[in-house]
Amino acid sequence: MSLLSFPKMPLKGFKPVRVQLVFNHVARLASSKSYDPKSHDESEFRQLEIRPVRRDRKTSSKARMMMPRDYKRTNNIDPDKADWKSIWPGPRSFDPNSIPIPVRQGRLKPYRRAFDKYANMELMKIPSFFHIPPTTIKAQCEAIKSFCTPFPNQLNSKEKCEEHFPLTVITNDYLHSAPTIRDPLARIVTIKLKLKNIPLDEHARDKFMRLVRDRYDDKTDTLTIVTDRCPLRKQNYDYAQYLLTACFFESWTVEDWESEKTEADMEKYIWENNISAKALASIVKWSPDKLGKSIFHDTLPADELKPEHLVLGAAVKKVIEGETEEGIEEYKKAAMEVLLSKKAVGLKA
Amino acid sequence: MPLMRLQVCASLSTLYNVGIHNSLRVLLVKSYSVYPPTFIKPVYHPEEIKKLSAEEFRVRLHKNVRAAESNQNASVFHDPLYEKLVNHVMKGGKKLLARQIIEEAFLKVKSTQVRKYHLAKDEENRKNILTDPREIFHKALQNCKPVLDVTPVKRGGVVYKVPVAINDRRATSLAFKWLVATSREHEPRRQHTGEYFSDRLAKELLDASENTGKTVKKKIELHKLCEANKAYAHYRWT
Amino acid sequence: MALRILHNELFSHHVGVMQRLLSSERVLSSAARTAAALDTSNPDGGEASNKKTAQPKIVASFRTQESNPTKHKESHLSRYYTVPGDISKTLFQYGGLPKAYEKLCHIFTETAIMVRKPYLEVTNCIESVDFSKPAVRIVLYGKPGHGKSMTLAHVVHYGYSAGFMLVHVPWVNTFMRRCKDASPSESKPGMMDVPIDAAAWLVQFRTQNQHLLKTLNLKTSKPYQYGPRDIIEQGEPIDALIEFGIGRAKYACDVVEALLREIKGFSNSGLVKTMVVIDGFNGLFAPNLKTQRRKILEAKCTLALPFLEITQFDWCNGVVILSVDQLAHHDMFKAESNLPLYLLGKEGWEHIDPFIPIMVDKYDTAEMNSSLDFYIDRRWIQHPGGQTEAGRAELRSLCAGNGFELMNLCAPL
Repeated sequence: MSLLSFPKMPLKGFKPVRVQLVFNHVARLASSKSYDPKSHDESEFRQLEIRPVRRDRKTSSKARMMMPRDYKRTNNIDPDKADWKSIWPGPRSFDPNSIPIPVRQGRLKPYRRAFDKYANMELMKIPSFFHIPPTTIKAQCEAIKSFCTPFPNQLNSKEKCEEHFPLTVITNDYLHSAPTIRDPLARIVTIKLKLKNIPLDEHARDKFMRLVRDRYDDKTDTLTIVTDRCPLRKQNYDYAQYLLTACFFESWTVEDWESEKTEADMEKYIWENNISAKALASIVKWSPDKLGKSIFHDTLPADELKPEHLVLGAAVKKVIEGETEEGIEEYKKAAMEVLLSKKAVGLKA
Repeated sequence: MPLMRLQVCASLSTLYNVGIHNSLRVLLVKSYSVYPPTFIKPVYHPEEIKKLSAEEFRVRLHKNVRAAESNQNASVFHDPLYEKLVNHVMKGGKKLLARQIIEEAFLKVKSTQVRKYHLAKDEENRKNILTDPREIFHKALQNCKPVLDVTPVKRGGVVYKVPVAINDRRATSLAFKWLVATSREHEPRRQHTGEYFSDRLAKELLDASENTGKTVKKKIELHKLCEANKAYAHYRWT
Repeated sequence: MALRILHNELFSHHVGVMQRLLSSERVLSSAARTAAALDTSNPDGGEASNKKTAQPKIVASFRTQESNPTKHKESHLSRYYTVPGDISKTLFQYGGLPKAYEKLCHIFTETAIMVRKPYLEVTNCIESVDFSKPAVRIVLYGKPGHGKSMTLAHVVHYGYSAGFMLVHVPWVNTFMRRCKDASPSESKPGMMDVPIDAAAWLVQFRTQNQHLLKTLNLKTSKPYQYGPRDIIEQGEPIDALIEFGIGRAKYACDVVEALLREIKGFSNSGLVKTMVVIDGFNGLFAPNLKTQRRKILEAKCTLALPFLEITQFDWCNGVVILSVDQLAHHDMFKAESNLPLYLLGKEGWEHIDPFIPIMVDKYDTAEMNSSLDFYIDRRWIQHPGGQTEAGRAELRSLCAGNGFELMNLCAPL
């Protein structure tokens, strides 16, 4: 895991640790001068110091005041006011001495900070985008504006866009600093379409669903076809168009074997076709002369269906599609309405 | 042996009072508790808290208190003696199982007694039937507690069983031990009659509450032994 | 004093929370009790004054003297009534009450059942059923321990009092999951018979419907031949068929089928009204049969068929009351829901659709208080703490309205 962190407010005048180390080194060099034996007077009797005593400690404090030469460009740049174009004009690998902000990169360990920017190989490896900060992009956009046509102002809302351009084609272009201008990913074409925009009846829609399978998202009513099998974008685009057309016309054709579709093959629960409706019909149309026949499943013609039967059907459908306590409660009310002759006295909750 | 330990503790505390260095005490008494000795035991039950005086509260206010143990809770139905019984019945740290078994035993005690109660029609008979399993348990425990125990003392190469008076703690512990031991005496597995530990414990509790049964017999036998060895009683001191 | 209060807070904050939780319940419960006490005079007054001449018996607020379930109404809600001893023996001798509660009844020397909302819903439905129409199916559902089986027991008593012929299966899984004996069926190849359980059910049927069998003088509608010599002629009393099934357990499953078909016929012709009560109905749709020794037999059970047949709607003059239970699911530890469709499966749902589902909910506060009072009265709760409001509150919150849990919690108290 790597982390590239930019603090929001870079510390102004912040001196990295390394500078501190250099400073210490210089201070030590300065103080060691006083130990140089050549500086001593030759005539003076030299004592043998078994354990040398540092006599000139006070003078060394002066040396400590000396500042090292600041040879880093970054320390002279104020990141807020910097002209980024001049700091980093084009793409190149990372240089810690040009970037005036503390950048960190590296694997995070518990209770450790990531490595800072100096001598950080990870930072040098990744491509940086310092040459295209927002200000630069803005300037470049301004520059090419004169070559563009304005967006049609009649299409001022999303609904209008969708109405006039129901088909969305998505392709990606890639730019490289490599010798080739091609990218294999550029050939991929994605087309998106809302199904409400194409005419489909009950059967066609059912068949269309089966043909496109998981390419249709019922939450957003969107069909998404991605084509990438041909080498060129143009070919892929044509292929996507072909797929859409073929699916559409195929869904409108009715084959002979489609009449053999059973209840188990149904996409959704249709109460009227199910045993539930037949059982209800049998109960409603029941007469004493039907006694003794072990099981009888009638059908109820649409004109004989009373509103309470439809309510029961809706409740059954709701329960079958997802059983909840509320659904069962609804079903209970509907069933009581249908099954009981006198209305049961409601109990106070 | 526990008596010996008590004595050791007593002598240690005297030493400590006299001013023996603390490290000696640390050497002699091994403490396995995670809490330092300054920590006091918690008063966890609301009823007990109500009994505390304001002075006791003031003292407790500035002391470190141990966390309550897992079997100490604020339930209305909490009973320390019951928890003790659970610990005595428990094998291999299976406290939940031990608790279930004891609850079963209590249920069995209650079932027989309550049915007896409801079958007895007149008030006079009903009054004499103890139905509360906890009450029966407490009564049984009281009846099983011995007053005296024997301790081995070696005199002239002969080990005498010397009767000694015991404190309530030891008596309770013995009573628990006997109750559980008599309930564990059972026929070999092959001849298992379907009578489980809980059945025998229930029976034992009921018997002991009426001052009969194996456990009470054990106590009486111990008392008899003490009576027989009365003559050696002075070996305790000399 | 302030210190003391502070410490109370510190040491027993959880106790405090509990008590605060309960204080609202306490108000509720006392309100409910006073309401119930006021009510007592209303439904029981007439009966009680007729019976007692010397001394009017004081009825506790959690009890009702009304032992006829057909007369139970909303004013009796959340109060216990006692099933008369002889009726209790007739109805529940061979099961019908939950096992644990049966033991309790033995200890209490009475069978007391609480009048609850689902029961009233069921009876309301039964009363508004048109008996000339196909049998109405009513299904009880709810979490385990909330009282489905107790409600069914109450309904069975209702059926008995209202003069229904009872077809009562106390627990389907006694033969579907724990059958005593299983042997390949002769009449239905590829299926298994459970002779002992079938014979036991016939015994139960005979006991529960003794009075009707004696008075109605029912006759078989067609001859039955089981073995070369085992023939039951047309027009023989139905008792003969039952006797035969009990005596020749080998044919008991076939006899049950014949008997239930006969009963359907009697109901259709208007001789009797029939009430079918099956507890754990979803157990009938188990894919296989399991014996008492936990052996799984990959075959369907023949005894399930007649009960499935009688729960269909192709007959009239009957009402069917079923319960679906998580514990009756063929793999009860994996059952995730207690709702009817999940438990019955598609097949089961289509078998009984349309039906009236009735939920058996957890105990409400009044019911909880009433059952606590009942337990205290019956000496099932004797711990002095259990009789205080704090103890009651503790029990209430621990069992969370589950009657079975409450019973278990009170067991060692």
